[in-house]
Amino acid sequence: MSDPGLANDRDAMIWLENVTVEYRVPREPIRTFKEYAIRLLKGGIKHEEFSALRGVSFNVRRGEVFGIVGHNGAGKSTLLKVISRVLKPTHGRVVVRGRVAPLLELGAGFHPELSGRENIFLNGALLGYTRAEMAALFDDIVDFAELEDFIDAPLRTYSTGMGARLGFAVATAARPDVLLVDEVLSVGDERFQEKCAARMTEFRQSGTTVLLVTHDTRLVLGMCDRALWLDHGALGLVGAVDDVVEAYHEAGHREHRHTSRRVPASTPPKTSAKAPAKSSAKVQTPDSTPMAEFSHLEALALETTWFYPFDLPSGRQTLCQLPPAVARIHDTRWQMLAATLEELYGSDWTKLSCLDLGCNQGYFALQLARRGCQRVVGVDAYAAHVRDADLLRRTWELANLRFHHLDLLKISAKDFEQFDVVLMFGLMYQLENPIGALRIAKSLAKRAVIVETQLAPDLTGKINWGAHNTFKPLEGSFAILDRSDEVDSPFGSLTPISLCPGREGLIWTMRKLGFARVEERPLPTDAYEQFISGKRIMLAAYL
Amino acid sequence: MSANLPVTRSGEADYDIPIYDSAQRRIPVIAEVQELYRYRNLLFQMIARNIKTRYKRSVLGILWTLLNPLLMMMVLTFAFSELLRFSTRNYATYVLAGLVLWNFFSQTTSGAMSELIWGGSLMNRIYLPRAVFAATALGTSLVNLLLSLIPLFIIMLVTGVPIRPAILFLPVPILLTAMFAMGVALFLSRLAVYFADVLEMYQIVLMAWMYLTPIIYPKEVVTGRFKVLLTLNPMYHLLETFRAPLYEGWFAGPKTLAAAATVAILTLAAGWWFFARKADELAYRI
Repeated sequence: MSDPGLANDRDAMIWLENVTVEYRVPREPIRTFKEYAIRLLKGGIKHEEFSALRGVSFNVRRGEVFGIVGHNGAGKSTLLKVISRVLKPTHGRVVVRGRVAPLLELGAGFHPELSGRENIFLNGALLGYTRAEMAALFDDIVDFAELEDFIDAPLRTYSTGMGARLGFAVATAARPDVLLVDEVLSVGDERFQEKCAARMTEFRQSGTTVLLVTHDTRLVLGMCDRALWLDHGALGLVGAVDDVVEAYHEAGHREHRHTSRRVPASTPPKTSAKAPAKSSAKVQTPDSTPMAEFSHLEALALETTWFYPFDLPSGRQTLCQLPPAVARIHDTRWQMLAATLEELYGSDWTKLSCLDLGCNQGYFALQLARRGCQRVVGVDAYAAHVRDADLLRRTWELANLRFHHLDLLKISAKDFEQFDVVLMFGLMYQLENPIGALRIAKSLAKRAVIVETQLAPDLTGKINWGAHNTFKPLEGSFAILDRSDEVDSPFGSLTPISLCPGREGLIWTMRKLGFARVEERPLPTDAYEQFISGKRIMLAAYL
Repeated sequence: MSANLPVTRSGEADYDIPIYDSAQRRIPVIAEVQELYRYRNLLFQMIARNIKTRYKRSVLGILWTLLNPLLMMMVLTFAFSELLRFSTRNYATYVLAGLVLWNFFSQTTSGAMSELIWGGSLMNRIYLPRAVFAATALGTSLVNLLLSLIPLFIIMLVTGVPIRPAILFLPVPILLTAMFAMGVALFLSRLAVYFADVLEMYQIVLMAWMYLTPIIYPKEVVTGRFKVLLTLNPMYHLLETFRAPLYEGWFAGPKTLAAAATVAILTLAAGWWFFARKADELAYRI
């Protein structure tokens, strides 16, 4: 292997030989020059070598879709960086042939004040295109991103979905020879994701090599020709997709059994010895206990204190920051939601699609996905919530569930296909514009919108309009709440002001928005105290 | 692009598909220049972005660039000629010429650090020539410099300072200052990647440096043993070279010009070397 594979083999597009990447990091982080000077005076700075990749060799051929799997921190993104020329390997050699298009993060490098048009040229330049090339690609980009009407508006006026569409359109405007994809398809709305997938298929058919880095082994099995498993920076296995995914899971189970202690002898650990038999792949010696993805994810979930008591695949439950008496609110809400859906759809929810607006850490979306709904999407305006929710999604390996970081009020009907049921749980009273939010919820729903919210005291009756003694009927009210203290907390309101609905006001408003029927959902026998005292309510509005 | 053409054994393609080979031995100092040239469209786009966003944000738009040194000049003229009673002839032209060049230098050097820090998240995702950020700062400040020459010429006309053919010489001091500023910018950029407080500390250095340079006061004020400070200050020589054609209507002396040229070339070479040598490592750090 002393000759670059590319030299002999004209179809080898990516060729790595014995690639090692080492980071030299100070033992304690040094952020400022002041710290550096002080530390230097105090007798030197100790460094630690940390190797993100160790002796990785493999090659990828023209037109292959090549998957890279590995748990967090196994060196997957370092590997992508080495291939995309961002990092130079400390040892070893990387050869990449052709134009490489990284699809690492949609819209990186966009400027909010510039128009879509200007951003296309800027982003194209970042990807190494000349102005003339961009001018030639321009119409296609605008067309693909479906932004004809907004192309001269500043980017800050775009919805998240629009920005993602533009980013993908620019990155894939010209067919690259090598496309690097880093979990990117989970960004953006679903309809657009399908469009992206179609474009990738098209590329692949015309000979583009695709490198797909993902946690989702199903995606690897479904899309890739070959795959590689990275195990703590070293090559675990490279070869046929089935073998690699199997070996990766094997390692996961081994680790899992390791952590859950004392496995009954009746389940003998499967040896990974059969993995290399099928292909020319090589297996790492099993003495460096590889960490399992899911047990690793579970471990992460167990470290955190959550707003909800989440069940985990191993049967354990996450820590919940609410006292048990208060945490019962989640049970009551779930019982009421389940009863509502059963009334509509019976016990078979497999055809059901649901959208959870303001999904928080994704409790209800996760429950729905685990109950087997066909498609569940949760959105939240707080990135931290979306990250947390996504951790649980990955822990449960749910393919029917997606979380997106989106501001509810910026969702346009174009971003999603409609859902059977749209949920707004614990969200309404956090908003400055609750009626606008209801309108959006309604536009996204085919069958029903289910709203659960805190209630404020209500006012109804007639208002004397004054001088001419005219009267206006008062249908109900929204109370103004000061939320300034909570603006920074992901469990509060995004805005310093929020409007909390009164019971009559909310029901009237929802009817007025054009729902065919709005009903208050009955309470279960042991409902949480706030529901019994009428401080909270769940309404189902049917279309 | 045809995919099936033969490739030579050395790994060089005889068609135009680019090949990246991490083992390719290139001299970093030269490679960085080549890469910057290859990415010249990016440089142009980033300068355009800076200029456009600056003028989109403010209502006064481009006028602000013109007004800012003018207002500063008016305040200083009032303070120095009326309050402190400096009797410098044509003080307005003197101070404005100095300010314009100083702003060019300080904007380039501070801007380079901000650009690089801004670009950090990008550099972690895609390959970009690392020097593009300093070059962007330089290009942006150069546009601002050329724009602020307009109010300078207006002031000269208004206050009756003759505009002589010597101003045709101005591109030379501008080029030399650009080289010096770029050298300093590259040096600081590399430090700023490693330490978060460099930009902040540099602002203090800049302020002291400005007051140590005869921009708002006549150089004759500096006497005795402090004179050596002037000769050691690179910006003093550059400033003299720039200001002479405007203020004196003639060229700066050959000694000044030689000092300015030497310091510009050396600083650029040293800064470029210091930066490019570690350019590949910056992504590890940022």
